[in-house]
Amino acid sequence: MKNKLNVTLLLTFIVVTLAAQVACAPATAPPAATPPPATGATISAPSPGAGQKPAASDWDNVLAAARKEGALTLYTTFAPPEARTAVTKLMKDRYGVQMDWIVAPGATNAERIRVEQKAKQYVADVWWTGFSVLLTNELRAVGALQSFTPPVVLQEPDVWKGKGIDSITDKRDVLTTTQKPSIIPIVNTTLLRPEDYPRSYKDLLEPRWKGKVIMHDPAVPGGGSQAFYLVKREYGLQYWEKAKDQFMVSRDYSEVARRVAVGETPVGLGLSIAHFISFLTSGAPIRPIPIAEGATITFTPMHLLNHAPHPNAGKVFLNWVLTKEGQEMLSKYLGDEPIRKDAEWKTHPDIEPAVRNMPKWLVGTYDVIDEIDKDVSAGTARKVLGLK
Amino acid sequence: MRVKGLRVTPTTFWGVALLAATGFLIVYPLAMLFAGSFTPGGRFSLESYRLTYSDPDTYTLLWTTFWLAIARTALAAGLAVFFAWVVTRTNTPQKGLLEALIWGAFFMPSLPLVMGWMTLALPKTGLFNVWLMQAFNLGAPVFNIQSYGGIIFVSVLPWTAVLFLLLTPAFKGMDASLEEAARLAGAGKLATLKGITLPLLAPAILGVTMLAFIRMMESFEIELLLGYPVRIYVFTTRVYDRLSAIPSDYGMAMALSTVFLLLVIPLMLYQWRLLAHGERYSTITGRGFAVRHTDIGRWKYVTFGAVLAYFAAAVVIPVASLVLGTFMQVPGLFNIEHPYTTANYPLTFADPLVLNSIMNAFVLGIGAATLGMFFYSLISYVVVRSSFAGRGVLEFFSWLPYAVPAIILSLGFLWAFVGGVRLPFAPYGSLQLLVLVFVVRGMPLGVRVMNGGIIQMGRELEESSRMLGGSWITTFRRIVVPLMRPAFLSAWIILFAIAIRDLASVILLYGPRSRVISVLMLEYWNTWLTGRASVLALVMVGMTIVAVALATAAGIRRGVMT
Repeated sequence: MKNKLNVTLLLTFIVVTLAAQVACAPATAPPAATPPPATGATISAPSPGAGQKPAASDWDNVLAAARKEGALTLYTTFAPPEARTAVTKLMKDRYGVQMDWIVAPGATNAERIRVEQKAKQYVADVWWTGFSVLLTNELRAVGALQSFTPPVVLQEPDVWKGKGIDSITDKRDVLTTTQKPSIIPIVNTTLLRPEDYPRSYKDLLEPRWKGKVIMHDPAVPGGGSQAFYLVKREYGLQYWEKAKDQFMVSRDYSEVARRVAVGETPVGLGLSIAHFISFLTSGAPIRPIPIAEGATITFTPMHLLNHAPHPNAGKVFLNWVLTKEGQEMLSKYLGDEPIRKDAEWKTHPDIEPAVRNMPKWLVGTYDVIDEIDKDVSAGTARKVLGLK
Repeated sequence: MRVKGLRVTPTTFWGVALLAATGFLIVYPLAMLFAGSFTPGGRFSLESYRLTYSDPDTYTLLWTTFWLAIARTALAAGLAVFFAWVVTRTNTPQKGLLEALIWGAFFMPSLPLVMGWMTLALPKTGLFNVWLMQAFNLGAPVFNIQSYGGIIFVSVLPWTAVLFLLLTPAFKGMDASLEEAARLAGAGKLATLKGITLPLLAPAILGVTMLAFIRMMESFEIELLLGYPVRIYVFTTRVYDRLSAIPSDYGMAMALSTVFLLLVIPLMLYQWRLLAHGERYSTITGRGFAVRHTDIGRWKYVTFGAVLAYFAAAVVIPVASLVLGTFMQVPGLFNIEHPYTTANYPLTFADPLVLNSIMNAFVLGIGAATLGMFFYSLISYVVVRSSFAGRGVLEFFSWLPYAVPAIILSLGFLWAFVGGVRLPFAPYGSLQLLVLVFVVRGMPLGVRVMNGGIIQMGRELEESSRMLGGSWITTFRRIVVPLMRPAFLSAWIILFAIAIRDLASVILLYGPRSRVISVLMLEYWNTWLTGRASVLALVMVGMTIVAVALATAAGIRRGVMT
């Protein structure tokens, strides 16, 4: 009898708990009964082309509609807890929008969005991802991306770095938010004297560097594949054929930085600033260094999604990201460089000289990233370097 | 029971119901994945399979994976059998404590285990190596954890505990009078162990060993951290390649996974053979049974020491590494001016999502393990004890989730229950859907554990119940389930631990209201807040200990455990 009672209590607990979850879930686990219109609003939300400035009253309508929607779901690969907490609070306090962050690798989020769009179970409003032409094209092909130019882009046309407004929007469905100076080599300063630092990727082919360099795996998308491409452009595949067995390879950025920081390996390749900044700020004996072949600058895009359940909240968020305040906040938490000229880039003092003295930069345009992605898909690095 | 003039026996009713449920939850999502692997780009094509199996590297990797799995499984199984024998059948002192210590090894997340051993045994900076080289003025490091030997050593540590957990119920459930009979007939202690104990336990030992073998084939994290930098590759690194491609090549990952399906088939055939001769292995019978311990003389101190040494390698070192990591600016970074900090704890718990994620993980773990174990017990009973015509199919269905990596299974759920048929009771992004994923993911292990237990149970107990008028379900509930409690409890704990820490199964399906602690850990790890990620890993270990304590207390109250 007692046993029966206990089993009944246990099952009741499970059923009640799961039922409570059902009761709580629908707000964020739709299907939306009636999907919102593809162009995004029940009001005349602005979606102007370059050169057209939106009327203030239109944007006021968007702000009011966003407050009414009251929620926003962001699919992202990056969610530093302090950034997540600060941005969520700001969106709630200022715009009345409760933000939810779904964090997963870029390709995983892309697959979720693809299935959601196909099944008409719309959850995501905004997609924030790494720079990948293939993923963008894939989601564009299924009609998942929505065209939108935030008003701030047109209202302040002179503040944008690079090609001005054209740096921010591709006039279709891609908004650039920050830029990343990437694949800056790092060295361990206790293992190497400054005169021994490698000056060029060619130096690293010398026998003395064998087994003393670790790079992020060029066989998967990321910093390693960018480094592979950058050097391949300079010296062809012959360089990497010679580099076979010369470098150690790791798929974990943190592991590459950690090995250099603890002194297990003198040189690390294929990292972005974000990958080693925590080691640098904690006082680890590492230093980013300029190198003859240069480094890359890539960009971090965001996309408003078609049939977003909260399209106006999504627009308000994207507009805020491109304000001076939004740029400085993202830069502070991610280490990325703002895309606005008037936003301050607060970074570690050791990073600035490496960036300033880098002889050249490969700008990661769509064409360049497309080439890098194709290399990865074709397994070029895997074959040449004998990675299995 | 009659349906339109057709007599439906309870066995048939339950058999068909379970077949329908497993078909819907397992076969349907896997069939979608399988079909998807033949239709990359929307058109029928064998390209994924051709590319996979025409590449010579596939076979090289398969061979490395295969021999590594054999070596690791043999060592882990040998140690697990030895430890199970020590704590259940010998007079080694403090057996209860030793059993708890070995259990502890199971609850270690793999990352602190690997990181702990890397801190000690990396060639240049490993503390063991530095100390030995300084103390004995050596010119080269003694240990290198980044080697085949290192991979085998680190993998064997947690898997010994898993196998031990699965094997001890069988060791405990064995009637000592059989061993005594052998001793009376003049057999020595070793001959009794060899001739009676081990053969009687053969189904349980071989069953869990083969389970371990397939899991070793799928092992990934340890190889990635210890093997990849020095170019030791395994089969799963190729699966990972395909999954990290942009866009992910799920077709090819699925094509690679078919190898595991092929491995599962002989395993299943072997289990069927055992089922056909199940009575040979029955040790729990209606006659009652005795558990007595063999006196191993002074060797009891050696066995005691062996368990402690294992505990030090598998638990003390990773826990020390994990705890130390929570107090470091960057775990593992000692060569800086201020390596230690207490800030990780307040910063982690200041995150408003932490508490909610812990609660969700508890609900997920308890829900998945409890629902799963009831489901698996029923399946197992039908498979082992009934004459239901479809029991072979049911058994086959229950094996299928073993053949695909967790992320692929999760993708199958996304395609089937978000992109296809929607479950009103388990909507997209809900905890209920995550519970279902883990019920499916844990099925091969849960059903196997229950199968092993039911095979050991003599039929006469159930037959007595039936003769006294007990229905099929009453016999199952009143006789089978109570006798199977030790196995049930062991598997429940394992499933709970898997559900609260497995990320791959939830990453495609979780929503804002069902975020669990493993997802939060990913957020911290992705943003290189490794000190705070260590705090969350420690929380996970703590959660599992709480669950084990509660389950053990329940077990003791019911007389299942001592």
